[in-house]
Amino acid sequence: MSIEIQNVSKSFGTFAALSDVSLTVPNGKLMAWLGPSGSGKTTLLRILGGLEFGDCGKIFFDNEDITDVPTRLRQVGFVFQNYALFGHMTVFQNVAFGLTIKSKGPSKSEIREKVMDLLQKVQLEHLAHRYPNQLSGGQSQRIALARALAVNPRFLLLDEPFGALDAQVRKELRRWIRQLHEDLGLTTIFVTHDQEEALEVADQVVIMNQGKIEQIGTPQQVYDAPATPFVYRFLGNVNVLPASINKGKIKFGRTEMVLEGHATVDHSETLAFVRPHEIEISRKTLFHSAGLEVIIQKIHSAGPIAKLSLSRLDNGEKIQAEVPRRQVDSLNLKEGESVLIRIQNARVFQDDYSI
Amino acid sequence: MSQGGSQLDRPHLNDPWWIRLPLIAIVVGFLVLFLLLPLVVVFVEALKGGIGPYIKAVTDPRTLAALKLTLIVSGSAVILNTIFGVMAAWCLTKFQFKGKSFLTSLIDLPFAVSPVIAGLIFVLVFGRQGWLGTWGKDFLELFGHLAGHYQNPIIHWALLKIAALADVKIIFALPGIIIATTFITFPFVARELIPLMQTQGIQNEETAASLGATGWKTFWRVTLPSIKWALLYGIILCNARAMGEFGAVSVVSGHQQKTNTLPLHIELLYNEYQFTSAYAVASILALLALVTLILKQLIESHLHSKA
Repeated sequence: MSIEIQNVSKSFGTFAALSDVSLTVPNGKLMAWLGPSGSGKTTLLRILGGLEFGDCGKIFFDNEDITDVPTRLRQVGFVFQNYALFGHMTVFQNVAFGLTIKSKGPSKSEIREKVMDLLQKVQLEHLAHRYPNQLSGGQSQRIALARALAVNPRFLLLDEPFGALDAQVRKELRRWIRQLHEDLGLTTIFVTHDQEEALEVADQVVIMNQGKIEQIGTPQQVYDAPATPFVYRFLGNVNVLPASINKGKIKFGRTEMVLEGHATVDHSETLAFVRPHEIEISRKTLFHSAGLEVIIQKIHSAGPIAKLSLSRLDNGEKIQAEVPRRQVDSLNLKEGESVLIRIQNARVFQDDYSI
Repeated sequence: MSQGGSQLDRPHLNDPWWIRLPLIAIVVGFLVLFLLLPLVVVFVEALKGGIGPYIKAVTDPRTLAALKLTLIVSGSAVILNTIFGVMAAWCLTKFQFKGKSFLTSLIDLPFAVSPVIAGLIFVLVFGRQGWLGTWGKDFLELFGHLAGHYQNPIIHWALLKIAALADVKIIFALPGIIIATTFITFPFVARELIPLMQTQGIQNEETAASLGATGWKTFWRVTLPSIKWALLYGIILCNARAMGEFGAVSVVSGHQQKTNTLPLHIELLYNEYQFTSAYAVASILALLALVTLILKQLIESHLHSKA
């Protein structure tokens, strides 16, 4: 099932939740919609599920226009952030719900077989007779998924599927959802504000901000080549450093380096985006003094990567760097020392115009 | 030391006895004087002449007729208000629309209006000389006239039946009492449901819809089961109030024997200086109230165990 969203806009009062969004979700993919709260990702998900209707624009499922089709006829599996399990029904009854409401639905034994099969798939068949308030968050999430899968949905929509879980369960459930997706091959979209989650689980990531799509790509594409300053800031830590560029060269203070592209730009002040791990640290020696001189203010060295808070010697500007722990040990770095940094990679967002 | 001990286990949190004792005495005294004593008085006065006169007063045909009318009226009001209350709560909590807050405050109107005034309003609207009453008379004349023009017996009969509809007596009759009681007790069910349904939100309904359920199925299978205890609680409160309603019913009943409910009958007996009978009948109402209280308590404990 492929999904096509064409020019959808939606506003709540004066707040524009979505402005002119177009997107194609390819068949069989696991896609993450990533963005801060208020970016419109959940609104778009609800529009796909038929729980909300766009002010304008069209939605197609496999080239069939379903823009005005009501929720119950869309055959979409929608799982809410807080699972929305029916509290007065057992786990079994919850999963069976979609099968029992049809007037000419399957027989009792068929329903039983299907529900037990689904419970087995989510590895919770032993909980069939429990009530939702006796389940943990992770279990509830799986039951909500099984319930959505029971009606053979055309695709799955998950709203912040890991949002309400603690860190350990989150990690486990992520892997599990990935595995489930591979087993079923069902087109799945999930909404999240956690970039790590999106990059780890999804085949494709859509980054949204203020009702617009900023970038679409594989996790590696969006991480390695952010299309906009917003994406750069949103995906992981980044240093934003004032710099000047001139004919393919970029200059931080007195140090200069080659910059890909931007060859036609004449002397211009700009902001450079540098990831913390793209900063190399070395000690100043008699023969080696190329680079920016900084003072190490703080070293956080819990884990394999050490995080350094640096401060530029020339203008006091703060820079975050991440280096392997081994390097900190081998260089014997100490807080308060001055060292040299070299920026290995920087990215500049500039409208390249020729003069 | 356990964290969850009662106040008494933790003397360091208590005030000294000379502050506690008077405060407790005031509360207990108040409860006895205003709640317990009247209840006791009702039964004591009712049984003053012995069990014989009590049974005679309770089984008096007029009392039994009043009891029957009270049960019919409160039963009808409860059924109507259950339907209206659930519909109002459903519409106010599951949908967004203009004028919603106005409608929400309108639900409280019967609490704000004095019952006597409510009764008067219904007399003005439904009475023979009232707005709908005069309209009904025209209606009756029109259809009676039309019926005279048709020879076909079926059409003739149908038109006469329609005309008769407009001739139903509302004020000073059973329909008027039911309407007035329904009005007075309208907020109980809706008020009980609205806060609960607001906190429940609409995600369960949205989930049901995404699983293919129609609105009708969603209501019966998802919404109603999740509100059933609160609904029952509202029904019981509504019933208690409906059985005891005096002011509005007094206005629309027209003070005739055949439209006397229990509260009106008690007043009548009392005014006729039949104190023992009055208290005996009052004890029936008090018993009904006690049953209501017990039911309410049972449901409340169930609500808490659920939460």
